[in-house]
Amino acid sequence: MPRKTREAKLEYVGLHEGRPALSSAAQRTSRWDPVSSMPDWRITREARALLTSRLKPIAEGISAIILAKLSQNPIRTRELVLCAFSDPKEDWKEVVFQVHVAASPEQANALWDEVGNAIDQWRNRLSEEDADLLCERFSVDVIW
Amino acid sequence: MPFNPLGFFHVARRLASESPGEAEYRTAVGRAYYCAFLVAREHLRPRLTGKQLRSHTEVIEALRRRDFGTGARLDTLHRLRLSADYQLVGGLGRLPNWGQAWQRADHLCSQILRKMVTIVP
Repeated sequence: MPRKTREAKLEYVGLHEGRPALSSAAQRTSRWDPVSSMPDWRITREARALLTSRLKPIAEGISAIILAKLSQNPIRTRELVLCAFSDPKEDWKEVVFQVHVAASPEQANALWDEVGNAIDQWRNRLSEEDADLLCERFSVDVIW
Repeated sequence: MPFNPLGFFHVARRLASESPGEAEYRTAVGRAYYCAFLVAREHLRPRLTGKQLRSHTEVIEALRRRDFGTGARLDTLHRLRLSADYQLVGGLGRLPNWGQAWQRADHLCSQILRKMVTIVP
């Protein structure tokens, strides 16, 4: 089980904590609570706003893949964070699974490869629509 | 003769090693990103529309469709480049300084370039 430590301060441009939640009809009617559904992750308010019920199976699938790969790996996990990233110039919003690890660059990149390959294999079993959402709305960042 | 984007990465490494300072590290991060972005874009060009070719996020998405891990690395490098160019305070996440940020960008760009040769457009 990944260990949770102090909260990270997200300072990348666009990894904002204070922007208003989106207000699409789909999000207003969303009844999925990602915080209780994915308890290993610290989920920022902005990421929670992006995680509609439509995205639930994809987010949970990515989470399961990352947790499985971490459980098979001796690397120590520092923190798991779901944050939102937006690029206003390109009107783009996505959810980023940040995996903070205590590891060398080589170990961290090997983990990133394992997670990426597993997601590629999983994507091939998804519907075309879900596969599109996976690639358009989600990213994974392994931080060493 | 078209320009080889690898030239940007060579400039980035030279800049970061010869005159290390925050401005140089930030510039090096940006050059590393543009090297990786342009190599990815040109590799995927046969499958991208004109509109997609002009969009950083469309290229990142297209790369994630072919190799999720490599596309995710380009996405991470993209965010680091935005911080380097626009964020005057902070912008480093948990990284302690821009020297460390450059080291991360160097690793990311190297990994992306290594992977690109294996990805089918």
